[in-house]
Amino acid sequence: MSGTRRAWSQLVRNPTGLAGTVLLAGFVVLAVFADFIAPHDPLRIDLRTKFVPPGPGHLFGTDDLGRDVLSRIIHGTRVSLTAGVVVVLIAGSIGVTVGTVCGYVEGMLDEIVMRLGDMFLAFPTLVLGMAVVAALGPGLANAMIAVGVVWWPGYARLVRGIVLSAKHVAYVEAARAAGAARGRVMFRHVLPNCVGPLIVKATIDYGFAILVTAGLSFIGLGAQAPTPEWGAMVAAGRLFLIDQWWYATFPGLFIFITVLAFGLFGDAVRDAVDPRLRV
Amino acid sequence: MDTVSTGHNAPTTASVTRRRFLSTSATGLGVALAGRRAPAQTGRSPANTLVVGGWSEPRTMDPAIEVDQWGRSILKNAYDTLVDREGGSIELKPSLARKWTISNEGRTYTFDVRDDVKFADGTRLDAEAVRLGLERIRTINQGVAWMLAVVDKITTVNATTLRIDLKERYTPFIETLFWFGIPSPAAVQAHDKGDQAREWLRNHTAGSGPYQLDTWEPGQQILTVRNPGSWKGFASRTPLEAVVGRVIMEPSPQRLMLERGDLDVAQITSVDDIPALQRNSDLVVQADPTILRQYYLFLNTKKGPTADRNVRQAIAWSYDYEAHNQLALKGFAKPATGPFPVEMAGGTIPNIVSYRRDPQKAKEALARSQWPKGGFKLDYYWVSGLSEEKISGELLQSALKELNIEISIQAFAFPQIIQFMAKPETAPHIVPLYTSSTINHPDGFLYFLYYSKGNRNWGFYDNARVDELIFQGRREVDRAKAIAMYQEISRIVTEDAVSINVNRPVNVDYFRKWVKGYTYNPMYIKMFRLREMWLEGKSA
Amino acid sequence: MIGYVVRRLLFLVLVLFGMSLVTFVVSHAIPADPARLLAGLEVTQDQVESVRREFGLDRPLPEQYVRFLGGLLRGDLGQSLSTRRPVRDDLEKFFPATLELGLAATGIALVIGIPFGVFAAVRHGKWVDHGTRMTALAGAALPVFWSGLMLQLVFYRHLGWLPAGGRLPQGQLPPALVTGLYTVDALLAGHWSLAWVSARHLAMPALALSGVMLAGLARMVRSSLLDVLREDYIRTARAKGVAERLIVLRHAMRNALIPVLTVFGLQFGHLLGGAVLTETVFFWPGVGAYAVRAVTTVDFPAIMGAAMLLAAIYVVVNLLVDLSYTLIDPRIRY
Repeated sequence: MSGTRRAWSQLVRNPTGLAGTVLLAGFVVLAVFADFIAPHDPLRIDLRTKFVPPGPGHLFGTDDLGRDVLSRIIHGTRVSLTAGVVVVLIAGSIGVTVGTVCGYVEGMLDEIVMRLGDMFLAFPTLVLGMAVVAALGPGLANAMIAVGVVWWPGYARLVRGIVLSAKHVAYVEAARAAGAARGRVMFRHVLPNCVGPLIVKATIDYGFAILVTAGLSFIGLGAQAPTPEWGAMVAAGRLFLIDQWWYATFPGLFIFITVLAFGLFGDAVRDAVDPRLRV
Repeated sequence: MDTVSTGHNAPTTASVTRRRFLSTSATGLGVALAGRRAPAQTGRSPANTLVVGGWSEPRTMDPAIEVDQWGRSILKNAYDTLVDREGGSIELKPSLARKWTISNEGRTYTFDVRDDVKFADGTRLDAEAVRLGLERIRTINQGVAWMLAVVDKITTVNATTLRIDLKERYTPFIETLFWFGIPSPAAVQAHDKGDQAREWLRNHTAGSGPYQLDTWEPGQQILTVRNPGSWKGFASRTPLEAVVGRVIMEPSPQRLMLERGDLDVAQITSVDDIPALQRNSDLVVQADPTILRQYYLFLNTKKGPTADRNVRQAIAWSYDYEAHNQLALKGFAKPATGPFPVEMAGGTIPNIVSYRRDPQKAKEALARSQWPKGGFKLDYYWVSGLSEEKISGELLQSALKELNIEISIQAFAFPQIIQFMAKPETAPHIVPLYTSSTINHPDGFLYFLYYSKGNRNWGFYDNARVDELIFQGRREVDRAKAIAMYQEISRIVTEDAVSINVNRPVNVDYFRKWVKGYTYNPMYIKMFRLREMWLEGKSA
Repeated sequence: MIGYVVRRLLFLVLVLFGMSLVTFVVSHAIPADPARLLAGLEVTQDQVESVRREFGLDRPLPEQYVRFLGGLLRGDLGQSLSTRRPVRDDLEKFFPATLELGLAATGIALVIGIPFGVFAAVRHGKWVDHGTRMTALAGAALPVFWSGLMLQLVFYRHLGWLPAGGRLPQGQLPPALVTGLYTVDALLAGHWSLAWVSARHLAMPALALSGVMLAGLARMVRSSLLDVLREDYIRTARAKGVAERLIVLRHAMRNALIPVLTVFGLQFGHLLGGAVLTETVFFWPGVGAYAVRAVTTVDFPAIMGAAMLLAAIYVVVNLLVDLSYTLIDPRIRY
């Protein structure tokens, strides 16, 4: 498709977009090949090498149990990228389903469900997330579910709006008039309109999903020991921030760079797909 | 100890009322307090105010309810008790009771109550006030009340004589009495809205102690001020006029503030901070030798593989005690030799199994079990925020991997852990626990931890012989016989590997050099007897 | 207009009702026994049961919910299990701190974010554009729980310019209560030094918190200004030779403001909720820190109270924002 190619070429011509894309590609490589890239076993405890400062043997130093911080960060890439995918998938799939149905049927059901969505939007993500995690029990999977559940209305709104406007476009009405079944119309003619905006919203949310999940881990409600999760590493390392600065600093830096990369990438994708899109 | 005034001699400073101090003092504190009416210039930081960093804010100031460390520390200074300890000694000394006698085969305690003690509100303390204070605890039936469960009835014989009858003989009873602060009956009556004045005592104090609560800004600070009329007097001519406890839940800011002198005393949780703090010549880092506190990993004797004694023994033989105590805690934890601290009477126990890391013995023990090749998974829950408990989990995980046993680690809030521990089915297979006894007596550990109905029987241990011995010990008057019983209990529970006795954590106190008069007392960990303390040359 | 406001307020009530149900269900799904928490941890089962009866926790859940709703109507949010104070009293004490922090962060975000956005739009596609966008995005990407620690290290430990955290120095009592915002109250009392001290305590947490909003604002200003600058009337103005600066400030900004305001409303609501981590790091005694403590002590009434308060504020702020459109653009009517 030439549209995709045009968007792609626009994306890489934008310098910040290019930077974001390159960084992300790097993170994906780290995540996929973590086992080969990481110089040490991220879980191997050796208290004799506790708190070795950054140096040739351990580029980012070691943590309170003598584990290599760099290796844990590299493996943590996997955890964080997965967390982003899961959150966006959960929020997206609930949101798309609800939004499509609401936009299509309109009326009472639409009104009720969308107001329910507003309610979720009104809750501060972290506070509701905290409550959900407290109910489900702490753990990375539950933290991801919590954030996903809190975020679905954003997707529902987006899709519903597009469905509403697409419904009355000439070709959809023509298809309906020609006797096409409701579901078929939905999938063949209406939903494709949502793909672009959804991709944009998903890329922009992705980084923040990582940030929020790390935040939950920081409070102790997310990833459990000994999972090398960045937020949990910052949380554990903050106790040693003053003398063993490397323990909390490097994972924090990686969260920052990843979220930034997704932000740059998301912006560029938006500009390439449709600069007027507000997501 | 250099004491300016002791006993019932009213201190010379008594004539200076609190308000007057606060409004005449040139300190920022005084200005701020007085400033509620007339704001004046902000003065310098007060030189006779002690600033303490605290985490986990107290829930209430009610002496019948609050049991957490910081709250107890404030209550200890606001309220007096029948008996108390002084300086670093763990021996009980008379306090509100001048002396006491025990009769009726150890079931009746008769106290000679002081007649020269006044509450901060000006009313007089007598035997009836003490009785009302104790009855109030029993009526409210929360917090510390469980320790009074053994009491049958409390009688005021006359203004200076109080009698307590026990349901049965309980030799360590006198030890429990330093937990029960006595509030002013007049204050309780005046604020009793059918709730025993619980509402009011939540954020007020009405005791006879040297420091009473002035202001509590939730989430920010707790301010207590000196009660000049306090009957025990003060150790210094320039006693602390006020104490500010700042609510700082995070440990690193506490350390930063201690280093910069914004805190006089800080709570620092990590032993890795010690070397840097020791190099700082403005600070005192005081590690204390006597430890009446232990850190355990309890094994669930009623659920899954840990119900098998051999599995428990295998775990006890594989845990890396040395790495934990020497490397992770840098020696700021001493080995535990039995189920109660070695420093207590009878703590050196002959012929007790002494677990250490021994992979061979661990394999043998596992081979005797139903799961000779391992291949199962155990749950480990820890209290989020307590990093030593996290370390234990990760050490277990790496040690038990060799036995082909998997450990799943999860962190929870302490109240949730308490909840899980209500039943063996919901409890994890392994759970860490810090215990410091409420009393200086092995019963404080053994009854609590290994009695089948004990409050913290987190191994769900149920051994008729042990239960019997525990109750015999409580009734035994002959000290040597009692000790023999406690040692037998210790041998049984250790052989059964109900708990892994990891260590006795060394208490380390951190304060500015200008803080004087602080003595560590192993029964008052992180609690300050403020009347013994003062500040010398604290810069403004 | 009035009808619209009434409708929105009714909706607010509905939302609050729904939220009370959601929080009630969620917080009661937490596997912990509130009666045991209230009684204290060292108590016997008997004591737990007596507390359970005393607080009506032995009643069936629907009944407890109805009682909770009844209390809600009277402004009673129940008693906190950990502080034992009425949750309402707690929130009254903690909320002004969050509000003060939120307003200060908003101020910083406005002062920096809007010029950033304008700059980026005017120099669209140039390096200034990329640079400001990068900086703004960086603000949003910084994990507050980490950057807060870094700020403490630099400004407190090394430079000694700002206090480590909290709202006031030790022993300093707050100014006479008017708004609960210490800086404002101190100024009202004419207590200049106290106002200065409070402002210094506010600086670091507000800076840390402002990041996300700053980024959002800058992006929104940029994109909506870009849209407006492409409009015909701007071209006309340009053709007429009106100075570029005047075009941007007088003509374009006004129309670019509406979408910016919308984003601002959404962000302000979330800012208060996002203060959770900032408050924790800077031991700022606000609703966020209160909520964290509520979760870690499994304090159901407090969790519910904090969540509902923050959600209600979000709804109200957005209502105010919607209403303010009419001030900016007289053509908008409700």
